[in-house]
Amino acid sequence: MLHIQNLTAEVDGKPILKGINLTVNAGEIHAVMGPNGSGKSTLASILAGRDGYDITGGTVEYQGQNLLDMPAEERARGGVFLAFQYPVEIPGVSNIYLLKAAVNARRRHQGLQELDAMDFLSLVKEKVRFMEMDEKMLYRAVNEGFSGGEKKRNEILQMIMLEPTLALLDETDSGLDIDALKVVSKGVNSLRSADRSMVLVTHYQRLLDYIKPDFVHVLSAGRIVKSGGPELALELERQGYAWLGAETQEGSSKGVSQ
Amino acid sequence: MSSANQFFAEEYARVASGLPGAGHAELEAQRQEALAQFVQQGLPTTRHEDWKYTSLAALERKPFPLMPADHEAEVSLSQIASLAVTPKATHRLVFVDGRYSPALSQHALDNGVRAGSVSARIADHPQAGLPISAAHSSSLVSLGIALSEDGVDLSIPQGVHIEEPILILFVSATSGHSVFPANSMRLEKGARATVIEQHLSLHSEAAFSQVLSRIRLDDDAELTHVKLQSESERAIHLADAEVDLAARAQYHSVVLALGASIGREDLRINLNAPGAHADLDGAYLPRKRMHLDHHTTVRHASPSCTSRQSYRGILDEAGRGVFNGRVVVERDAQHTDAQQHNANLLLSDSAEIDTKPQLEIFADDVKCSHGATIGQLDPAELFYLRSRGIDEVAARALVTFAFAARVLSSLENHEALYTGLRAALFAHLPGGDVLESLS
Repeated sequence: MLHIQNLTAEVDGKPILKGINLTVNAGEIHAVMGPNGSGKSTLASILAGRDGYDITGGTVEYQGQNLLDMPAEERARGGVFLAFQYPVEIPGVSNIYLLKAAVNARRRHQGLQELDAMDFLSLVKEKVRFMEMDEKMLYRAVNEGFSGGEKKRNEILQMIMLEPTLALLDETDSGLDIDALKVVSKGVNSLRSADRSMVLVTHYQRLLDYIKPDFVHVLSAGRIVKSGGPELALELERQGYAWLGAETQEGSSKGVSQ
Repeated sequence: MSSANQFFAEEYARVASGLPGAGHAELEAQRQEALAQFVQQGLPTTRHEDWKYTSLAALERKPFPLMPADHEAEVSLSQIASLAVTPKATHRLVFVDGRYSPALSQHALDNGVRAGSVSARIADHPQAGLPISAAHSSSLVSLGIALSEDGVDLSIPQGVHIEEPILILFVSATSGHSVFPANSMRLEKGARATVIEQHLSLHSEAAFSQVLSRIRLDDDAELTHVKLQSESERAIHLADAEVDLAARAQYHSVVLALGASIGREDLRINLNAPGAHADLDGAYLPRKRMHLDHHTTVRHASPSCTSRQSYRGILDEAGRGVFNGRVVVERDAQHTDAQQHNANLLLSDSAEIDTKPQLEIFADDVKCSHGATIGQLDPAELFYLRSRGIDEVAARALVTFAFAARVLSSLENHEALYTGLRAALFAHLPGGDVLESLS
């Protein structure tokens, strides 16, 4: 599904990623944890195709294709989805318009027929109910004036409408109260399947109580310094990131997990 | 005497005998007085503060003659239907090359509503005079009065509500000429209407139109006035509108400027009695080498009036925009609430905007605000859309359209009108065809 080899990247000449190796197979959920500034969000952004990063080395293969060669929109149509840490407000563009344009762009790419207005509306209303959101938000401008929790729910709504093959969730738990966290997790868990992969980028273990990862990786100073199972997250929760200090110095990047 | 002064003075001499009201002493005197004022002052130059950024040197160098008296352009009903912003409008008044066309017009207005042409009104009632007075007017307004050939004459009696919008279409069918429409609209007490004023060209050549409008709203009257200016990109379009509002009257203006090499809208609002309200929305979208200028003046002359202005510019290529929003709050106009905002989106390095708010407040218990912004497309917004599978061209078009469309949001209940204006924006914006397919 996703195969990252020795990926290095810079912003304004400053190295952020210093050799990432990560393989995510179909059906797996990987959590990427790490302290602030470790490069977690940069990794998610680069995978989604955000501009402004200099990729200085390495490769990223997604379903056999060179992901780094694809513009952001092609990645999205091809099934890559990034749930933003800070979802963007777009005044004047209604949520429902964006959802429809996005769903149909993906369907065209998949060789499927576009949904007609009625089918689309009944589908989106069902998903809105599932995410315990108010139908009125469909007709509001994208994320404009939404609370932090509403924005995150809206990201997951888009995700379950688009049914991505590879979902990247960037700090989706930040700024959520426990009720919103449960709803968001319910949305994410509803997408778990054998042919879909997820990468959860998170600072805290809390999210992983609700979305159980298969693998946990610790990113520090631009490298994966430790990989393990779900128990690694619990250890981080107990001990913080400081105990990894020595290993960080080592720069071990044996992050490939099978 | 400069060339334009002499030119138009000679044009007047040439066409005077064919102008509405010719032979009627008072009307002729009115025109001659206006012409004398114009000839004395001439066209404004960039030395005038109000014309600092907008040069009429091209018009000064090459003024255009009026249409011959017997001029008749061939315009068909199907052409009108394909070009009108609301093709199915029940009420339609059409002016071709500045003159009313009964054959292309239709309306089903009764209840004492008068909807027709100023030329017909003058023919029937010359004693009523020209709809606009040259007293205290600018040289351009004087020119328009002297040479006015025709215009809309709309009068709605007390308490009459017209639900269907009235479309007033000004078609420039013949290039290389000047037209001087002068419009008069009056809504009596409690009357209500929506008027769509559309100006378009059937050619892509140069032409000159100068449009005067005088609008009077009596107590509690409500007028929504939409103007769509999409003349040829070589045309010069100058408009001067003045609106007088009585107690609790409401005037809502939506102006969309999409055409003309030089486009200028002067809009003066006089809030003359308590509780009057004006809402002014506008968007200007110059591209290529177009120059679009909006000058507004809102005069709060009475207590407890409210006004809100929101103008938005989208400037592409070497397009240039000017916004000058003046708000005057007179000494007695306590409890005034006046807001003004001007937002601009620059899509190219060569585009330019000059924006200037002007607040003159002589009362002490008022709430006034103004603000102006100039920005570019937000890369974060574009990436967000692209990360949802929308390609870059469509993403740019979508964000740009959304920026402009906010001035139309108050018209969403007028479905046909909203759809027509949206289509006009789509046709104008880069990538608009992509949006058309998405919507």
